Amino acid sequence: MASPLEQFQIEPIVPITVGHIDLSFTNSSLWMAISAAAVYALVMAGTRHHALVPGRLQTLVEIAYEFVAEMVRENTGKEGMRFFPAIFTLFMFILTGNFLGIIPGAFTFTSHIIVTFFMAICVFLGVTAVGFWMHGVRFLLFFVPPGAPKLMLPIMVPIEILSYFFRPVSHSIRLFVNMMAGHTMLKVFAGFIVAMGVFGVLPLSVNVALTGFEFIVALLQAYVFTVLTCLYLHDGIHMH
Amino acid sequence: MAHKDRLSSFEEFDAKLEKLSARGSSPRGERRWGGRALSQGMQAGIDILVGLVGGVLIGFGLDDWFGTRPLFLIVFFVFGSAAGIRNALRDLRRAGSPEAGTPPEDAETRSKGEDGE
Repeated sequence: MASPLEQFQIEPIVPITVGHIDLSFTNSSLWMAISAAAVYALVMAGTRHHALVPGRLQTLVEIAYEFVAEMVRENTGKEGMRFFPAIFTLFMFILTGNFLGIIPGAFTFTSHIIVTFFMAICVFLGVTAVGFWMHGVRFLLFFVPPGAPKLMLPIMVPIEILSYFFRPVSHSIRLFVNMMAGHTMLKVFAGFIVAMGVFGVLPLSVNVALTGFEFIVALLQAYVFTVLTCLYLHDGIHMH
Repeated sequence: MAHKDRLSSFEEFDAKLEKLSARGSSPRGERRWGGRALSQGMQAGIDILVGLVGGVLIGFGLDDWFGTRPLFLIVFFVFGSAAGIRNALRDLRRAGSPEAGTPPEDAETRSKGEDGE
């Protein structure tokens, strides 16, 4: 029986090495490319007709647009809409990646911490850059909690700085853990189906429920990742 | 005749839709809220864990570097845990309030603090 963790194995499809660096096009890269292409195709196909009464595809794209636009407006304010394209792209990419990962045999790239960590670091660096861009050096005052007694500052400032640097870590772990745990569970129960013979109907029904649950998790985790991005962006734009 | 039939069926459909959406709205809203609460709880747990583990790792690293085994470990264990709790608190408070970002009581204390400076 295959190990439940085998599905996370990275396999090079087109091996490329530059010097000592392995830049192979892997199954992970393949599914990222598929995901990006799927998002692009969906949005392009959905907005092609500009129909006043939207068809199915256009409705789907409009729902996605409004969902993310509302999220950005709610969590970062009007100024945040400037960054809407980046956040919409992030959300659609993660969501599509999560959903595509449910297809049996597909690779879930969001279940790898390096992928989610890279996205979180991009958000972190981007938000920090936005903060310095909008507030200049005054952005450093973000680490000084307003209204705190001066005596407490030597304790509170290091805590604020540490918590700021921990954010991309927890940001990335959240998505990766949820995706990995879900897919491992699916595989474990799938293994029981074969092992239990006739009584495999029981784990099979569990797996059906888990697959449904995975759909919720896929949407929820894409949402959580994006909402947190919006909240961090809020800090960069407004400080506090 | 057929036209009239269709009209009445539209009306029927409207009535049915209204009834269904009135009935379905509250339980669905509650269920969504439950999902959000669950995910928020998970988030807070991860926040605290990252703070604690991160603090300990930084402490270990600095101790290895300076050769002061327990000193930085203790300091960063405390600071890291505090930072983790701070993150969890901030995410929870923001994601929990309806107009996330600036909870009313938070905004008030903050503007007061800025006046004082």
